[in-house]
Amino acid sequence: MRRVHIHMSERPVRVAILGGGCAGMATAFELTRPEHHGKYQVTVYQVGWRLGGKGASGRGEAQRIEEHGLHLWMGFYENAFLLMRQCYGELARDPARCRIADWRDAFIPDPINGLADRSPGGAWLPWMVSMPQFPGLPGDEDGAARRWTVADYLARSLTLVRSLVDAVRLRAPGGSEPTAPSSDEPASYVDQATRLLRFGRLATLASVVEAIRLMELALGAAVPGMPDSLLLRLQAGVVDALRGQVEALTREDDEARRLWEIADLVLALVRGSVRFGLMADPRGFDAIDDYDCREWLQMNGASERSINSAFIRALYDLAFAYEEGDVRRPRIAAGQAVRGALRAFFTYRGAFFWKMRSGMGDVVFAPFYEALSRRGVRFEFFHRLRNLQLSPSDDSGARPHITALDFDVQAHIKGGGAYRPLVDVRGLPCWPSAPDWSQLVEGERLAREGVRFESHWDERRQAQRTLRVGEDFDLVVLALGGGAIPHVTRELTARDERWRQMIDNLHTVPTQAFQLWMSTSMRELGWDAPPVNLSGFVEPFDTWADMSHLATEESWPTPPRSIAYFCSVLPDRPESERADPAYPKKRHDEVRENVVRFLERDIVHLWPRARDAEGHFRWDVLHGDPQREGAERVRGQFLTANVNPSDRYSLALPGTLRHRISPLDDRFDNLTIAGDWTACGFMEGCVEAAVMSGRLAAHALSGLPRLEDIIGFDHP
Amino acid sequence: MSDERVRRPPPERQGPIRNWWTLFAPPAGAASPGAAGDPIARGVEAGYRVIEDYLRRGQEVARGVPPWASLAGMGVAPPTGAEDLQRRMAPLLRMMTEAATMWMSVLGASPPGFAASAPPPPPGVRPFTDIEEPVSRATQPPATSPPTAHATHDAPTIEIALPGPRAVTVSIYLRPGAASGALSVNDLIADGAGGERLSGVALIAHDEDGRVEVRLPALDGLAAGCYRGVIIDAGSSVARGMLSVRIAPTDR
Repeated sequence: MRRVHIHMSERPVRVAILGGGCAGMATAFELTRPEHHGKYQVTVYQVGWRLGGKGASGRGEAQRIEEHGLHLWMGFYENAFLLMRQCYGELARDPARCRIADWRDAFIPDPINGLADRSPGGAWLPWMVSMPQFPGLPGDEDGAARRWTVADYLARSLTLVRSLVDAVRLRAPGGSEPTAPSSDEPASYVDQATRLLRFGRLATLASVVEAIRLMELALGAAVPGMPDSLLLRLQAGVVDALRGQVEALTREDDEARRLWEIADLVLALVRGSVRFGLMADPRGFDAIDDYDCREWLQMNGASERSINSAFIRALYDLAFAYEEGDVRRPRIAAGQAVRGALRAFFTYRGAFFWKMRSGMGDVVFAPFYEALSRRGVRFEFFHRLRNLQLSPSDDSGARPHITALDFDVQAHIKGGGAYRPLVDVRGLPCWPSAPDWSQLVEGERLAREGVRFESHWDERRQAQRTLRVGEDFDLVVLALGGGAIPHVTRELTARDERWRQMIDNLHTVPTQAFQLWMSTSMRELGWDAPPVNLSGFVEPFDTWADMSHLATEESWPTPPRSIAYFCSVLPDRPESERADPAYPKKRHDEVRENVVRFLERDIVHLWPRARDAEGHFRWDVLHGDPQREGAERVRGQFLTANVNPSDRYSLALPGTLRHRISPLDDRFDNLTIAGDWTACGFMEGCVEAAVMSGRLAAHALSGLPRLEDIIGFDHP
Repeated sequence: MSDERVRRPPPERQGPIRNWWTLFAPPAGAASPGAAGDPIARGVEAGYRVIEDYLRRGQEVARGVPPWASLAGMGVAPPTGAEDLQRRMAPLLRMMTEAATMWMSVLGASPPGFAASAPPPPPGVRPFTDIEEPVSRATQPPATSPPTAHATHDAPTIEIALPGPRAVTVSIYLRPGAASGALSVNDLIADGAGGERLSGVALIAHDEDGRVEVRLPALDGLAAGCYRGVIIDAGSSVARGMLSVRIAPTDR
């Protein structure tokens, strides 16, 4: 009989969270909930002076907001909204003193969405869609049981198609024939479908509508009723009938064409789901993740025109879904893309999109910083993670663990205290765009030398620091951005084959963004529609949002009359080129050239009065130094090339997602991972994925939150 | 084998449940079973109703158990005694086992496959058309107070008695103060469909020196895997923690 003695310490468990983005903050928030009674003592280690990762923002000249990119929250971000609402509730800010005191102050419904549609003749036609308001609000803790199934989604999708076809029918000449009578009796689905197909009754749009309704009912009834073969025949009949009857109409009618394209895509989704047996596949939509989304839709009957439609381009644009940033290589895993679209369209609450009323740092990360600080979380800024040390391998069968964490300390804080990162902007705690040098030891010298704390290429440091397991930490949460992971986990990659496979399949891309402050209104520039966010436009900047509502948040002597944010993917460069210390500046200069070219050549399609009589962009509308002339005015705007490894966007390429590791995976016995690059249930780079992952990481360490409370984790 | 490090608790599971229905569902071929009069269709339909009923009853059981009680290392008292907790958890496990068994016998098939129904992958993706330069324009929660500083308790010493030579990793999670009462542990159940049991595990709290002794029975013949069980404070009827024993394969 062997006897082993273990000393069970009941001191708090020390958790080191590496990275202060959405995932790291979500983990910290969960682990320090009062319900844990202080069991976890959390320290967040953060490079540079601010939290936020890809969501970090700062206040610059005239306290203008400077973002990494355009951030909109979608109405299905249940986990993200839940935590934000709880965070604001806990802070209990005084609305008399702080203009963003409650989450409803922080987030504004944004129902007007746009797609940059292109007519068959080649013209760009902004297509404005006002999404209806759905009941409830994102993050409502109403306890409503949510059991999503593929069949439910397909039934809802068909309801959408039916209403689209109905809309097309009413646009057709003489298109007001009554819909065919039908029975809701499940037993007669088969008879009705057979009759419709047999007698060629799909000759009218009304009968097509009826056929779609039958499919809805068959899917809504879940299991029995209509065999796959009949469902597929009905689907094929509907597609053929619509092609015949609608295509002619769409040549003349852009609105009908758009509706038909969406109907065609949804019908392909239904067909593919039946053919691939997704309703009964335990993998849900993961089963088709080896296919590209457009590829999969086309192989299930979507037309060439539909897979190139504005709707699909916007779907890819929103996920920066271009391999190596090359817009000629659009690729996204079909299952995740479908999951994302279905969640977005059928499960949002309140508004489809929500805009923030200030910078993302101010709306999201300053409240988290304040709430977590109150809970006793420590923040170690100016700590650049270098390496995770792994325990030596042995033959005991025990799982390896993290023995030490190596950091570069970028700056010491005067007096050895904690760095105070926030600035007050008329009562609102905000993050600055530059560190507060006065708090740093030899801060003046560091400022003079132009140290760039957030740059991957600036390796200047004041000291090195190694934290050791058992002495400084017990458990580790690796919550850096996906692009930074390979740089700090070399030992894990060398030891663990599964980890290596994940790293090999973790593809990220740089992104680019710019912000304009203008002295003219959007109407004066020729945009007559309400404030919008619009995707699917021409590269190099496919997405634009009117952010004029932020003007009052900033402190300009003469406020701008409009503000516009743009973003897009940035073509990648080979690893060898990325190693060059001059690389970030080169890419920054490249983005500036892109901006100038875009404003000169492309923006006129959205803002027709932004051109002067000679056909050039009216550079004088740009807010800023009047001494600058022409395109030099762009230098007074804000633009960014997000090329730091941690700033790169995580792609969901076909065939790669099955290699991801979950935060729940326990191959390393004191480590978990968090970020939108993990197998977190929703594997598309976004705030919601990062927060879900952060909550999963907290569950992995503490058992809470319960997995069934992580909304959308158990989802097809 | 063990040291004083803190380890992660054993995971409840490692991925999402993508399709609740197919937890017990038939393979893909039987999922859309032809006409409603088909006997297989009737069986599927009937089975679906049964499963729904099982799930409903499971949810009722779960509602009766505070969320914390099922969590590793969390100790929250159930409304009645420890026996009650165990009594109410047992039907849940039994239901799941029965349901799975029923489906296996009714349908007698392996899990649904993808390859059989999926067409072959097509050739590579083409870029979007018309990506070049455009040509023209037509025109509560808990308003909670922050937690107070945590009290430090005397730390217990855990002594583990291991029979035989098999390599095992023992993880034990006890709530603060748990070591002071009489503890018992339910049978440990292996992860996975088989649900093999590890019975006869004993926890003995030694009040004289604060030690907690974990006695494992002979492990010969047990399959490799992770076995887990809930630790109960017999005196106070509180779920006090979780014990897991990971048995390495014999060829290691």
